[in-house]
Amino acid sequence: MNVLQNMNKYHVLLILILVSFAGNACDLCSCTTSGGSATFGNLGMSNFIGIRYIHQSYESQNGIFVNSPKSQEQFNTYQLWGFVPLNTSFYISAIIPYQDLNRTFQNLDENSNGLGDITVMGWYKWKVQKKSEDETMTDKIDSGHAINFGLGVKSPTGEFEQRLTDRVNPGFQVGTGSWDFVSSAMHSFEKNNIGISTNVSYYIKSKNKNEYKFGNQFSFSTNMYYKLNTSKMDISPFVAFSGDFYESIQQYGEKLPETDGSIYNASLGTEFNLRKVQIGGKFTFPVSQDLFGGNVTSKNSFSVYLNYVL
Amino acid sequence: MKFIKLTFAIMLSLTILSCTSDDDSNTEDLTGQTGNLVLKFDNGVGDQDFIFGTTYNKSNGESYSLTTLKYLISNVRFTDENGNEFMFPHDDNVFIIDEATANNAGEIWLTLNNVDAANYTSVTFGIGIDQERYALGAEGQGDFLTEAADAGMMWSWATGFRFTRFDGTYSSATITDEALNIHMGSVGTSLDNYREVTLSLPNNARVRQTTTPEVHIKADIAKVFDSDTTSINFADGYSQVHTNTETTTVIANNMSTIFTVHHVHNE
Repeated sequence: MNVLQNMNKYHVLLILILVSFAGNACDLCSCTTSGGSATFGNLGMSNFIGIRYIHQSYESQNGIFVNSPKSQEQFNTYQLWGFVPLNTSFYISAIIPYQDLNRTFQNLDENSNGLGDITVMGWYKWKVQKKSEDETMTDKIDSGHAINFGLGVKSPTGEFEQRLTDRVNPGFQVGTGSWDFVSSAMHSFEKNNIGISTNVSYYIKSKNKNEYKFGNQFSFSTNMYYKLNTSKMDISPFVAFSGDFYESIQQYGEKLPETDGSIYNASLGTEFNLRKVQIGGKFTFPVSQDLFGGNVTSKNSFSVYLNYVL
Repeated sequence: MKFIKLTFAIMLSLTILSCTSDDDSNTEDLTGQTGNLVLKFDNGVGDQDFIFGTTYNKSNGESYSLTTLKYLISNVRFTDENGNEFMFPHDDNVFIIDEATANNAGEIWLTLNNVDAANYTSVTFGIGIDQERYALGAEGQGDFLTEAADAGMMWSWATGFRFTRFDGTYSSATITDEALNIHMGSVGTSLDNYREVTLSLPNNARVRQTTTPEVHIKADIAKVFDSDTTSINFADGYSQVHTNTETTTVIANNMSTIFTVHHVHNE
């Protein structure tokens, strides 16, 4: 017990360090090619390390008129990601992305690739317990509800290129060049093989060296899954709904017109669990969107992941 | 105990939320510094990009299609956030905006060099040639005289410059592909059709030695014929606009309503 308490002190300290990084961010600089509503973990918020591939595509209006020519953008993101426990209550999640971005405009191809922005978050997991219905038992039992609080930073490990800001899609960047602060809360509930988890996150983005500040972002996502137990594996099909809301991009302290927006996405997917191996796939399509004054259209995207369960 | 720690963490995050960076100290000394500024003229018809040969509808059932689209811009100047004005040097401050010279994005770029470094909040320019510049005589126009003549933007010297040149055809329920020529100018010194517009910028244009802002100006050609106040009928004497006092004045007034700044891009 004493050991556990010491551990907790250590982890509070760790969060403090993360937080102090974020504090510096306010005076530094900012942007994000987010993978849509960023998901920090797998379905059941279990512990793993793995790899994930995300493919997103966009169509952007290159001009100020409705019949201005359009460009096509393809974003390929390869991630090393994990959700690692420090003890029963504290967890660390990390996403280390490699970005490979392609853009086609009037038969000209443009590519930008490299290490993206690394996100590290500390999580506190609160397993809600309830009194046992069996009155002879004095200990409380799991209620199936868990609440996770996460705090973290996105570091400017990816390169931000000023020349690319002239593009209509401001997301066409390997990195934002900024230290961003992420706070997140998640509720999950699992009972009788049915699980529901809901996440809300707020991203505070800071100014980068180019006086460019991506807009703060609020995101929510909720997903519901059903776990089918077979002799060989668990199969969990799921549906998800998410929303992302972006404030205006600022440069030199001024809001840039037509740089705010919102998007709602729906997703379908399945996660397979074979002992220690977890394989998941998700197909996402926009339900409604208004990004950058309607000049950028998000198209369907998909992601696949392969995890080793800890 | 855990709850206390959690509360502590949340409080810390709130502290960061309240952290702002309003350290925009205006101590930057820009004295003597100059840079470039680009005016991008982008001709459109309503929300459509203008394209030669495309038929556009007017409010009164008439339609038109153009093969030439040019106008003169002069006396370009900028006002900064402190109210100071920078006038581009007079002798070079006259330009032909010709749709035929537009890049593949449909924009005509006017690059202005040696602009005083400042944060500009508005741009002012004239459409056509003012009486003062015209009074300098044919010799006083420098190279621009030849340039304008070559571009078909001159009548005789006595009549002066054509401020606009819209050539094409128009059609209506009863007429098909009749000639359309909107050549508006001042007609010597007897009629002054020079107009000025001041456009405020949605965000500052920050001219520095190292940064070249681009001011994207949208010109709505539809408003030449259907301005907010005055609509014209080609069939009622507006298919051939040249030196007539009444029709050129209406076109001049309408021309002064076509420009807006869509956005400013600071490099």
